[in-house]
Amino acid sequence: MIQTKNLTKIFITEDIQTKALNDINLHVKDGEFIAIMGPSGCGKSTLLNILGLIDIPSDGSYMFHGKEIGNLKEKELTKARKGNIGFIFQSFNLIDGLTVYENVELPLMFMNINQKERKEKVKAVLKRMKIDHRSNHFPQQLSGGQQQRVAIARAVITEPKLLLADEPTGNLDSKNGTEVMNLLTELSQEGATIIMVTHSESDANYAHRVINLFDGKIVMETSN
Amino acid sequence: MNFIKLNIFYRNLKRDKLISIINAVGLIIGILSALFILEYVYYQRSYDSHHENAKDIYRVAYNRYQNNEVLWKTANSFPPTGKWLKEHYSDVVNHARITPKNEITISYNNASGSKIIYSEDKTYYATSSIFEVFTIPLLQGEKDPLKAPNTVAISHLAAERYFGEERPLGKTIKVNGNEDYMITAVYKKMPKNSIVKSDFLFSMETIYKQRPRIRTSWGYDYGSTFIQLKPNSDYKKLEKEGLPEMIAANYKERLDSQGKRDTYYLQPLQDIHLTSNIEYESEPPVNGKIISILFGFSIFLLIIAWINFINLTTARSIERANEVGVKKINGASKMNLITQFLSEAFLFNILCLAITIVLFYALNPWFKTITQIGDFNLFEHSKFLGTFIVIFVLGIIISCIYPAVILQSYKPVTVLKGKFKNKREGVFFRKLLVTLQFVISVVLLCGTLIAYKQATFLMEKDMGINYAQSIVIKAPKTGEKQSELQSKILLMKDELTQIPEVKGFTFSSDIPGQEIQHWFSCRRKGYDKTDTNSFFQLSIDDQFLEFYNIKLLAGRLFRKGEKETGTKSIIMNVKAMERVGYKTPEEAINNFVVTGRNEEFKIIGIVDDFYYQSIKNEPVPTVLRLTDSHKAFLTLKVASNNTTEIIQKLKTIYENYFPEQPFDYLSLENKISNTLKSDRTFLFVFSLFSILAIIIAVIGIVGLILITISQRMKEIGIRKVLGSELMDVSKLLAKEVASQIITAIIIAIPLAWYGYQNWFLKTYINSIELHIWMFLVPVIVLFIIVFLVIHLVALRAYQMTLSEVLQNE
Repeated sequence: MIQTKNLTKIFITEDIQTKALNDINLHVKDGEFIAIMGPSGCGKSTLLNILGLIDIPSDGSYMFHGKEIGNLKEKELTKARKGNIGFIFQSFNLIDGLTVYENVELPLMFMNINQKERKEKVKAVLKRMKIDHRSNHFPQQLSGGQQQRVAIARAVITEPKLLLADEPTGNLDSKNGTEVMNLLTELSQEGATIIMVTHSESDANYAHRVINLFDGKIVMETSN
Repeated sequence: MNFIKLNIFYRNLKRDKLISIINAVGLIIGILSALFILEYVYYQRSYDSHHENAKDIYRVAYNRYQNNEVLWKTANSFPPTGKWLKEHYSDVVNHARITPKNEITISYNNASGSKIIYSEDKTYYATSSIFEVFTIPLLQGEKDPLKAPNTVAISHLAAERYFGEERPLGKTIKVNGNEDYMITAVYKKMPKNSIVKSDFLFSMETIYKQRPRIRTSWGYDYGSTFIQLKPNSDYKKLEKEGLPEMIAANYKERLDSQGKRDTYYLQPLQDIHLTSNIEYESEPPVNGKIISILFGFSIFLLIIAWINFINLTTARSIERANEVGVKKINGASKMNLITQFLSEAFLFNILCLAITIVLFYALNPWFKTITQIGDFNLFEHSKFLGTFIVIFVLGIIISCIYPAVILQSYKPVTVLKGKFKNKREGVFFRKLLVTLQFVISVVLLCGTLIAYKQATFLMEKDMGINYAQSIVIKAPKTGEKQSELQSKILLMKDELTQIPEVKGFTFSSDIPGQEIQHWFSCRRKGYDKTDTNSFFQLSIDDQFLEFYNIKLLAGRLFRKGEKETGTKSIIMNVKAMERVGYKTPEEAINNFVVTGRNEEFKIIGIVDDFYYQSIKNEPVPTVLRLTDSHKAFLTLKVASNNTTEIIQKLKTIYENYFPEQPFDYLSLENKISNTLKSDRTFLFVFSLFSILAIIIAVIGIVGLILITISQRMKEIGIRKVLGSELMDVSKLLAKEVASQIITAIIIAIPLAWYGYQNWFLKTYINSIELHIWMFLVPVIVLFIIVFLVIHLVALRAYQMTLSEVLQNE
């Protein structure tokens, strides 16, 4: 599904250049569950952002489903992202002004899916995430674990090919964290490709493969 | 302000260049447009304020009624008016009188023997007291320069024009080739913003010497009387008591016997230009209501510009919240922070004000040319300067304090924990202001379209006379006997009409585009003398009616070669016919009218009413006579696009016949177009104002959208990650202002409709009808502009670095 070759990302400020990613060569197969680990500032999130098409590489190649996307423009990136990639963030990134239902429905609206179909899909996913009883609540009225379940619901509602999770349990207690990891495992078992950035060894143990980054380079790969 | 703070100020401006530029542009445009509008408004309001006694000078005007129907409303009054009032009312300390002496030629034979001759459009006979009542500084000459007949006071410009280096005092000029006047004074040129201005003031005694009865006449009113009251006198009391008493003491009996009555009133000198629109105004008046509306709008524009500044500054405050937090934690007091932000805002305002004033002076010549406000200097106007200082100091202080107070109020703990959000408080207030901005924008934009349609309508409306391709040559004034001059002119006419391009010719006393200067008094034959009425009189030739294509309703036109001999014939327009007392043209035909001297005239034709002075003045009751007296204008219809060539041909022939006379010509189309000059100027000022108001309103929208973006940046980021496209973001942001715009439209359209109908269109005797499209088109234009701007702002937000926005927690 994903093939990167010498993927490099350089951040340039007024007079300092920082190499956040340095010649990353990565191959991710369909249905794989990968954990990316490493110390702060090693480039984990940068890699995830590039893989998720919300940032662009400075150099190298990135093939997503056999298509080179390293040189796509903003509009094409949006198009490539839409419905194909789901995101789960550490801070949930739910929209405060929308209800649980509306938050989850949002990606379907951007895909111009009709209301009836949207309703069915949202109901089903909320039920699956065991959050359907809260569908009319606003994010602030939910616990952290519940918010993350809503975020996962939103990420999977379009049945994306790739699910990206950036420290999905980082803001959760261990009980809620375990629940979220179980959910991701379930999704993986159902065939979803998942790439997760984490600091947690125990979370990484849920993955098929763990990639360790240091100073923007892959320094170690281990299979579970 | 020390160097470090200046440095920070500069860095902050640079950090977000776009916002700094938008903020500066908004402020500069707001202040600049307000200054220009105020310059126009203050110029119009400054009329005659330069006279030392300005507040105590009044013009005596009156209305005449017959059976409660207005016969005329005039700025004229009878010659003894001022004297009588001064003798009977101690509040009246002085009086002056002027009578127009139009369309003359003035010549002077200088020391080297050459003749200097010019046409002078507007001059007056005046009493010597004009120099006491009004402030007209004498540069040469003694007190009472006009006390003797055949004396004249001239402006220093006229002195330069005729005498060059020679000293004019004691020299004699010749008027129309046969009247001699000795120069007894030279005065400083009268300012442009004055209703009484002329380069020549001939002594009123000249008229009184020629026709002594006029001095005491309560029947001949050609001329305006100005009275000067004691300071702080109650002029209304004089109006209520003194003026009716003046009528009663002098001519009420005569009026009563004719079934007529007069109502006098006093017009404060400084109000005349903006409030008076009656017959024999010395200047075309301006609509004071519109000037007041413009003044109000300019102040509003200024306030809105500062509100935009406040909005944009506070919108940016979220970016500086961290700075405030860190400074507070490190010991900065409230006062430290307020001083910092206040000085930054103050410096920004002063910078913008400085740029504005530079731009104001740079663009002023262009603005003055278009609005024709002469050398008027806004900043030299005493009333303005005081107002300006108060408004600007207050405006700058208030607009600087608010953002400073908001900025310093951020709590460091909240800010540094990353839980800071721009306050929702005040959002309602900002939205309300944006709604108000849009109300004004819609009203102005509709106004521009309506003013444009009205101006076009006036320009295109049929005046009842065809003046196309007409060139007027002012008839020579040689001083010869009228009959001799007449035959020479007719000879010249024959030659002029030989030019192939000349398709028509007429010789008349007056031309369209100006007030008719001659009168005719008569009554129906068999009626009592008391039924005598006044009419405007046009002295014409047998070609005139055909030349101007004036529509005949009944009877006949003058025949070719017909003369006013034997049974004299006249033609009338419908208004005159009705004043004489006939109901239909057919009824009037072949009936007779009798003048005060018992001359009988047969009504041979009735023509349709025509607009002679301008489309903005009602047609007047007019009698057309086939007489040579007072004829002053030769008008030719010319079928050629090469005007310069034709003019040269006409000039050559004219100078053959009248080598010493100035060849003065004008295009009738231009002259009539000039009568709408004030409407075009108003349209220009209004359009400029509208565009600027819209720019400022759009900046207001940008401010509001930027506040929204700063509050919802993360939401926009999330939406973008989830697949939202640019158009979705634009729609999301447009929703933020949609309710304000719709509310504004709902308020603005009825307001604009009512306002323009009652305050603008009603001031015209001929006006367009309002249609809903005149309001919908501007609204649609505004919608498009606003959405485009929102789209551009959205584009900027959409180009965010997603990874930064989403992880910025």
